[in-house]
Amino acid sequence: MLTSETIKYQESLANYCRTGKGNKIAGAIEKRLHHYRRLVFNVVKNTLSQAYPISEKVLGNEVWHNLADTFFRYHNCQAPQLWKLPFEFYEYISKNNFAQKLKLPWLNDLLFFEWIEIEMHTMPDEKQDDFTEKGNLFKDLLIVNKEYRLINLKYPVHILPVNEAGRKKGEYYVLVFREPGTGRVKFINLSVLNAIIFESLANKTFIEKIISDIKASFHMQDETRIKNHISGFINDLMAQKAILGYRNISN
Amino acid sequence: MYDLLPIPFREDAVYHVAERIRQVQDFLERKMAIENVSYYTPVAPEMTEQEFVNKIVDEAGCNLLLDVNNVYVNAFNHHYDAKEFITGLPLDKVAYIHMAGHEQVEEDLIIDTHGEPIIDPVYELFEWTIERMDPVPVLLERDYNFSELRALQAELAKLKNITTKAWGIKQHVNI
Repeated sequence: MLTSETIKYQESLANYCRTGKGNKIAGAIEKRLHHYRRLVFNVVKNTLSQAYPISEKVLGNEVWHNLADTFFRYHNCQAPQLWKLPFEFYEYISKNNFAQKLKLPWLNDLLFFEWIEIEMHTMPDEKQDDFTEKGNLFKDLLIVNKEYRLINLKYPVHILPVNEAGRKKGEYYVLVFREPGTGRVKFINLSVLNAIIFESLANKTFIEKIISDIKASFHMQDETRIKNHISGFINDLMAQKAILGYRNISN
Repeated sequence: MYDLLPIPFREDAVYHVAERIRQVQDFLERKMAIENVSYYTPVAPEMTEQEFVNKIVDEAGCNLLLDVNNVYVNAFNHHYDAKEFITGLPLDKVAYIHMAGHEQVEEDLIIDTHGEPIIDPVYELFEWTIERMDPVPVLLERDYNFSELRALQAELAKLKNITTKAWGIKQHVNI
């Protein structure tokens, strides 16, 4: 265990690095301390820049620098892994209402959208359920790739430039998943209906039940049309490996 | 994070760090090599850097990753003799060597940047060091500001020539 005295010295140095202010540190060469502040801030800022290249570009150097500096000064990071630091930045920016303060309503969504790619890319492998490549779409259980996130955005920053996206507040769904084999992170823009269908599939719901749910929820009676829609959607998800295959029930 | 904050050279920090090294070694069931780092200011020290490094290696029962450039940088920044420092280290525990370039940012301060070519005095210190120890692998560190491939290969070739001369064998030198 470190003594409280040693911890105090380390905290003083860390506090100086973050704020440029603080008490005198015993034994330290004061005129060199600013180098630590510069070096550590550069590491933090570079990490954020690499995580959020689009946000940095659209916000511009000054705003981006100020956000990084404010985060560095005032947020007490919790994760010991450096790659998780950008998520804490996203949380800090959204919890402290910077989107409102800067009059950039799309800011939280853009940061989250950029973060989710890192999270998906870096997350531990999930053990996938067993599946076969051939099956009956309407009778077998579909096996969804477990390495996915279904995210909800208020602004369509994933398909439009931010200025345009900022004028189109709504409900947008994006399926983000990691392609088996390549590890590539892929994004699919989903309608509300398709988001519901995907979520149901991920919850191991049979197509027959999904169809009856859609009929009830959306007051749609044309079952052939629903089947055609679901069939096309699932074929696309299978081609992209967001759905891996079937667990045969029909045999 | 490659810019490291200095650990205070204090007795409790020795035991704190050694305990963590032992935990990892117990889990891995093998020894780790701990690197001597560059630092630009001491923080409330109770002992010298050399005493601190030696005590940790002894207390943890670990190996040492000797960064020759870091010794050069620290000797310059804190006005001690690099060869005396190295002589006082447990060279029989060195399992790996790091070499790198650095940048002088003030008249009396060098920063360990890993962004410049190795300078001649660091090559000389490397040669002097390896003549006093058994062969171990050597790594050239370069994190950014990359030279052309030929320049990096020339640095590796120079390191290989020095190791071959000192150890009489071709040793692994990687980047």
